[in-house]
Amino acid sequence: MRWFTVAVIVCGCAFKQYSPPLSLPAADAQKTFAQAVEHLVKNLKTEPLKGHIVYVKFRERKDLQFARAKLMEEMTAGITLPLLGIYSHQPVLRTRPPQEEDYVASLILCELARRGVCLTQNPDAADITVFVILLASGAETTIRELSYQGIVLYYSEQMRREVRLLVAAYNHITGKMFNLLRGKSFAEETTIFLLKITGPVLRNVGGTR
Amino acid sequence: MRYISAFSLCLLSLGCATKVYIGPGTGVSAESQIVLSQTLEDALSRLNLRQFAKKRVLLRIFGSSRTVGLVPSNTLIWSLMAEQLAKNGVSLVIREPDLILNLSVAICGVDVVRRDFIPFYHHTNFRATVDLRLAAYDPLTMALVGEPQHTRASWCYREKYWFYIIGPYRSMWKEQ
Repeated sequence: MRWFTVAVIVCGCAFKQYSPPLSLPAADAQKTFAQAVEHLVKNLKTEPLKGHIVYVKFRERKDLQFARAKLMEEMTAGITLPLLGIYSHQPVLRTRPPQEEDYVASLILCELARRGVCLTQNPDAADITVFVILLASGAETTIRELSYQGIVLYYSEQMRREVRLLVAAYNHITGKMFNLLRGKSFAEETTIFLLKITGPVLRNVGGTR
Repeated sequence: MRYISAFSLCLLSLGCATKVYIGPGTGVSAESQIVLSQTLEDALSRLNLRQFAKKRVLLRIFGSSRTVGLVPSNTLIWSLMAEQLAKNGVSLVIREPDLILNLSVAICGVDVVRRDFIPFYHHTNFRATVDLRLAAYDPLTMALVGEPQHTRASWCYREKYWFYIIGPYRSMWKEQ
């Protein structure tokens, strides 16, 4: 009976399976990006912006704006009100994903507003325009496995996200460009299984360097 | 009788049920959609939108390409948020708003974990996590209106099989 129990335990198998990028990205992968960015945003310099009107540049996509504007027009006209699900499963191709930069820009905007910087949404009224440029943003996954005769004793997946970010500002009056933030950060999430049965044990590490 | 029992036991032991998802071309699995939409709805319902009632609001959604770059998530978030705002008496506009609402989507995804106790038990767990930050700005001064809101929701959807044959037994519950 004892050996039977041991056999049942060691024959167990559990693994984390990430959906492929085109179906649904794993939450863990997104979490590491968000954490790495948050580490960096804390280091944003706002002193050079004092006394100026600041505009934060976004790269929003026009096609989505058009789709939403159309939906809103329809709602206003009372033609249709299918809010849920409309336009929700249309594949869209893009040459370059600007969403990461816009996401970071939204956090930068919130941070600037929190620190009392005078902001505007009109680019013509601004003294300074802030640009958010993600120089690098990528993840790598390392899988470690300790097994004996096909029995996995230890299994871990470590996802590491590296982000390099440049937040630059252009002063329209002086014509000078300067950096508000230039740095790199990382976030790691490790998922550990013992005998592929107990777990996952999650461990988060991250920071700027 | 003994042979029949042995044969039945063999059948039970050797049984195997594996869920195979058809590739990206056909779309996201139903389980992922079920649990993610439920989590999104839950996360959005935790935001205090009543304070924006009777306001004309311009809604902007931001997220990484891993969250909203592939349009299904983006437009689903937008649709659900628009519905929540409409329920709270907010009018969505694209020009001359009273308020600008920036919804930053930090996480909107699903982790899948599969477990086996061969040959007795198998389950597949779909855990969806949604992390949202909502900031409201005055369109003229771009000053923050109220404190930015932060909410995180997590739901699990599980399908269990006994002996790889009996099942699936489905369950869904809130984790966070």
